[in-house]
Amino acid sequence: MTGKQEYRMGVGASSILMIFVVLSLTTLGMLAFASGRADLTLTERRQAQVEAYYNAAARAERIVAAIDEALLSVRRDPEACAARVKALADWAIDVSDDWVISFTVPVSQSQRIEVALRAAEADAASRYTVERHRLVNIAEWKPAEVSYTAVEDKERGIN
Amino acid sequence: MKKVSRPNTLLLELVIVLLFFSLSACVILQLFVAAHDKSVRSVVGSWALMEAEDIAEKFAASQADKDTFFAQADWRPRGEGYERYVEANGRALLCLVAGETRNTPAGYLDDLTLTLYKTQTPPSGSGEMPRCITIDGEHPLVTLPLTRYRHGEGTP
Repeated sequence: MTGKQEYRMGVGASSILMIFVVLSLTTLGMLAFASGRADLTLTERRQAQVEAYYNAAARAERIVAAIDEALLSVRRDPEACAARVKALADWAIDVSDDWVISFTVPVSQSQRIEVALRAAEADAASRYTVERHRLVNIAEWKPAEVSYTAVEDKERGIN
Repeated sequence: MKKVSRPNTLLLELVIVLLFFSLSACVILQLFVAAHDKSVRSVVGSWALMEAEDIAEKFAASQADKDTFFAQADWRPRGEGYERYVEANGRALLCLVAGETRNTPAGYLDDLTLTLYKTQTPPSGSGEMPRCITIDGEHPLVTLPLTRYRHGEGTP
């Protein structure tokens, strides 16, 4: 007798297969969505950071324009020097004894732009030279409070 | 009592499975579409940001006046400002610059605004700027100030 083995799909196999496929697709979809959302959030945060930086840089340029105007008027009328320096101080601009004019522009809570200009001699072609124009991190760095005592004890063989 | 035959049971199960699968697929497909949409927005946003930073840094580093700078960089006049069309990987950006140069007593203050919009790729693929681009009501991808001070002679 030739025993012919017939394969038959049992009841419920297609349901199990469908559940497996749906679960797999749902997992992949959720992962893709989470990845896309994380990318977009990162892009938006970077965009906000860049816009904040360029807004601060624009403000710094306007202040440099005002300082240059003040330096020009000082050259034209040296008597007005004290008044001009006081005016700069009113704008929170610091003028040192050796005529380094410095100011800061906040970018965010953790960053600011620092600018320092050195006023040139009266006979120089340019009224100032840029000594410093930099983005500085002002957030205080706090190290994580991790106790290494347990690790050190283990290394020393102390239980 | 009438017995339900095995083939009929299988058929009924397959119909129910297919129905449930098609309903699930509708929901899952929307999830994939939303994920793709977010990914595309992220890619285009990053690209627009890079283009905007590139333009802003080149402008800040240049000593040329704004008309010379934008003419040399192949920007086209548009109203009071300038425009440029950037295309890559089947995507396109419209860059617009508007604003003015103010003459201060000591120099020149360029107070411009750069805005980037997503646009359609021109059908010719030649890189030519499409004649009519509608941007009304479209949210700009990036807006950056292009403010630059150039000191003039202004000697007493």
